[in-house]
Amino acid sequence: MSSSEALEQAVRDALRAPSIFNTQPWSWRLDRDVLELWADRSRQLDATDPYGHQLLLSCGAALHHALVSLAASGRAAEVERPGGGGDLLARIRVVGQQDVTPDTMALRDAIAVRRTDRRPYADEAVPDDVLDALTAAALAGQVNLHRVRYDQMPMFAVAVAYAARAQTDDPAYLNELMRWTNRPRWSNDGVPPATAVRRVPRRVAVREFALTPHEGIPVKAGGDLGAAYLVLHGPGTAITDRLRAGEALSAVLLTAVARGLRVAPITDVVEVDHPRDLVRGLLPEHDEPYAAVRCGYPVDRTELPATPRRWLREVLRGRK
Amino acid sequence: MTTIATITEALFHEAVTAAIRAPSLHNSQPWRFRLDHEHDAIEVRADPSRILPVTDPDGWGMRISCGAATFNLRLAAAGRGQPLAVQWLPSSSDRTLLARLTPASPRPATEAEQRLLRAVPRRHSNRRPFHAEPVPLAARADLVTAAKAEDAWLDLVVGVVPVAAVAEIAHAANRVLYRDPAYLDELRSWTRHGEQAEDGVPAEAGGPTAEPQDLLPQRPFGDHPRAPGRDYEPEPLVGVLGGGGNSPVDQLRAGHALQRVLLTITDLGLAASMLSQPIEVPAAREQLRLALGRYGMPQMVLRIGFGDPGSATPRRSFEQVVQPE
Repeated sequence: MSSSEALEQAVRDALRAPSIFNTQPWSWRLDRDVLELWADRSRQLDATDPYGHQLLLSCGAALHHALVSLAASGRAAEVERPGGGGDLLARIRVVGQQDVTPDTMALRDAIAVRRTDRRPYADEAVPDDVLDALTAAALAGQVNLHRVRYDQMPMFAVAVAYAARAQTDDPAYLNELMRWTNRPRWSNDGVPPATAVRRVPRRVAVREFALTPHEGIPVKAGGDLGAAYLVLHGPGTAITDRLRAGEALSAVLLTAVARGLRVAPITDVVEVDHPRDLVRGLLPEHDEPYAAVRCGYPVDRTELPATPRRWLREVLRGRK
Repeated sequence: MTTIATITEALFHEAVTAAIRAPSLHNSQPWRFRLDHEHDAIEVRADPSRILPVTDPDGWGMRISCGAATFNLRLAAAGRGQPLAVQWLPSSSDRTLLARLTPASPRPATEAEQRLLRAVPRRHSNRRPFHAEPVPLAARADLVTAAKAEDAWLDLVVGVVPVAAVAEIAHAANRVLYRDPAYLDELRSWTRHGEQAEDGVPAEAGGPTAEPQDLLPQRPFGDHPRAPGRDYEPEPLVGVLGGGGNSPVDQLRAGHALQRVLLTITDLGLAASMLSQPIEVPAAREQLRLALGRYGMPQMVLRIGFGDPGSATPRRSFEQVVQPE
């Protein structure tokens, strides 16, 4: 496999990255052994994500997926993150070979099976050594991970509820949600109702993708007692900081899945000003919260269907 | 006397828009505002037609509400860099004139003012059950400080026995009030069921129907059974707010301080509802004062906790509360 083939495979794997409303707001350019990641601003959500923070987070997750894929194919890569405000977010250059570790293979395998699982999780607690591994995964990308403490849970739950209320009171948000949960099949993006869950009382509310109570997968009420709620945070608010936060998000999700956990990112709480301030108050140093993650063991072990992804040729331009 | 107007129409509009978000008994909104061009001042006036004759015969609730509205008004002006000085009950002949606000030295808004101002549109009473978790200590300290900053006191009632004692006083007051059919009629006449209204309390903003195990009495706006397992929090954080005395100026000041406490609660991500029944019944109020060991007079009882977002109540528009020239 040549370098450019490895890079093309990396783009294919990066398509599986999670993104806000599954908008897949990225495009890639390949020139021999250099791969560029560009933000696709035409896919930015104007009401949900007016500043493009979630777009950068999604692109960061895609970048991390691509790097995991490259490492798993035995390639050593250099990454440059220009920042600066342009849409060019990262340049990946293959610089040689490296050994493939079992951990890398486990992450690569997690890419294919990771789903955003919005169902309630089991009462079995996430063990400390797994949480330590998740923290290490985030720190490797220079992003901090805070576990919401038991005494902080009510504030976190209330902040999420306030964010949900602010958004569902906003007609522009509802329009956007309606649009991205009802995409035509050929568009290969958006959140199909089949992956949404029915409304049940939760420890922390989940974003309502199902607009009517009858849509979505039926789930049992309660649960989530063993779930861990984690917040990715750091001091910086520049473009590269948010890109790195997305990379760390992907690292945390894939590490958790590799360890047998189910995962669901929570971003509505950082999309609205006041709830974001409330979450900031829970963090050491009052850092900027980039995103939150719920993880835990499944109650219902049935596999969820994969959400659609665009074709490689739709996101990749350039020559081998 | 003519001067260059410091209080512009735009400032007046913005300040009044914030002022009308203040709470009032049964959401009766007993206030009017006037821009006094000649003296470069804003007047806060009582609206006598909106004072509740049965629930609030002495105008206590009206003064608490108008004091709270005055706080919002001054906060919005300070947010625009133009703080306003307040003079309570400036006229001995005109008793509906509650406060006159005049320009103080301009200065940029403080961080705290900006935070409280952002909380103004989000604040509303939450009469539903709160989460059972206790309010963090740091937040409690912030609330006590907020009351002190406005020359009032906030006593947090801590522990099962003291809370039960306050609850007993509140229930006793509630029983006295509910024996009066006129009181219940007034309550019913301010409860709104689905119709488009600009005042009163929509039934959906009320709490679930009272049940015997409830610790604190909530006013029954509307009638909805609670979801199973959604009882009121077993150990609510109860705060009693008061000031030095019980003159009309003391009541206006207490309302002013109350609003700062309520906005601080909102800014902290907490929720609150108010219990005025123990204040409305003189004997209960005296009992409450003695129970707290205070010389000053209690002016409002608050229930504070982590609440899921509720719904805001409607308000009359700017045009409806502004007195024509």
